[in-house]
Amino acid sequence: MRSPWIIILSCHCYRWLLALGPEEFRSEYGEQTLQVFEECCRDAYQNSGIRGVLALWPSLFSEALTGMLIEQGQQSRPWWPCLLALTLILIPFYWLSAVWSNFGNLFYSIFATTTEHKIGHAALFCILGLLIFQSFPSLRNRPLSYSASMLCMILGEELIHKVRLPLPINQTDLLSDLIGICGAYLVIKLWQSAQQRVSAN
Amino acid sequence: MATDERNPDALLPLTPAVFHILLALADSEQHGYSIMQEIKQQSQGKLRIGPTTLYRSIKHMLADGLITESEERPDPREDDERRRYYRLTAFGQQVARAEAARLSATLSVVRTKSLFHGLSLDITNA
Repeated sequence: MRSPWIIILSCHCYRWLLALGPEEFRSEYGEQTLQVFEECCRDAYQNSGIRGVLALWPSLFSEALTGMLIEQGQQSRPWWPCLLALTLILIPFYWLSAVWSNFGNLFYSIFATTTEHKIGHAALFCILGLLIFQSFPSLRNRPLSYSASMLCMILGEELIHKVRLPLPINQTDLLSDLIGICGAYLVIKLWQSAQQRVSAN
Repeated sequence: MATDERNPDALLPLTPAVFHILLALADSEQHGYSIMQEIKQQSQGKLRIGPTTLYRSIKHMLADGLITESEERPDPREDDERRRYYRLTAFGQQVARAEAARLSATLSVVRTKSLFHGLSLDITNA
């Protein structure tokens, strides 16, 4: 019997959240966790239809997200603090520059010209992408999940700036960010294929 | 049943999730979803744990030797074969008893405090 679309969609989202967890947890408990989530959805659907399933999303999705991040933290990956620090600086960058003048002066002196500014955007998002691949290795073989995560970050950054500062969306910056994101993916793929060649020899 | 040489008190206090999972498995072996349902029922809906918390707790409980995966399976035609069943180990039973004793001792202290006079703190036998 085919599941209702809302259950299929919920399971896809949940599987994506589980992909943020460490490989060890996913291989051992991923399918079981997903199976229990699916049963929760089926129960909710039987009792309250689509609305019942949607009501599960906030609590179970946030529980999965925090649980997977804690599991990642417990794996004590050395890249995790770097990723967090860079995200905290990068995402509210313009706002932080406006409220913390020393920070703004430093960055605007490094990336003074338009070209340097573009290179800076691409480089920072490339570093961010590489840190994400190091912290969440499962994303290396999931380009769609990686792209979706990074796009959420870019949109989050733009949203913060829209709310905090009356800046228009800069399409050149967005393009530079996308170049950086693709660059990180290419670097990882090249590194993976190099590793495969070494192990084959 | 053989007793474990480890000290059950070393694992106390248990988290609410772990203690309720032990309680859910006290009478019979169960799979993940039925453990969740049992916990909801035990706590009158006050404690709800999601699938991720459930399996993160199960992971730690397996590592600590509190529970074990059951090898016996129901008929596959009547059951989802992705399900895994868990049961208490002898050490898990000791830890559950030790935690119950600890909670009972705490409740005894609570009863002596005037702050809680008037509250219904009797443990009714089911």
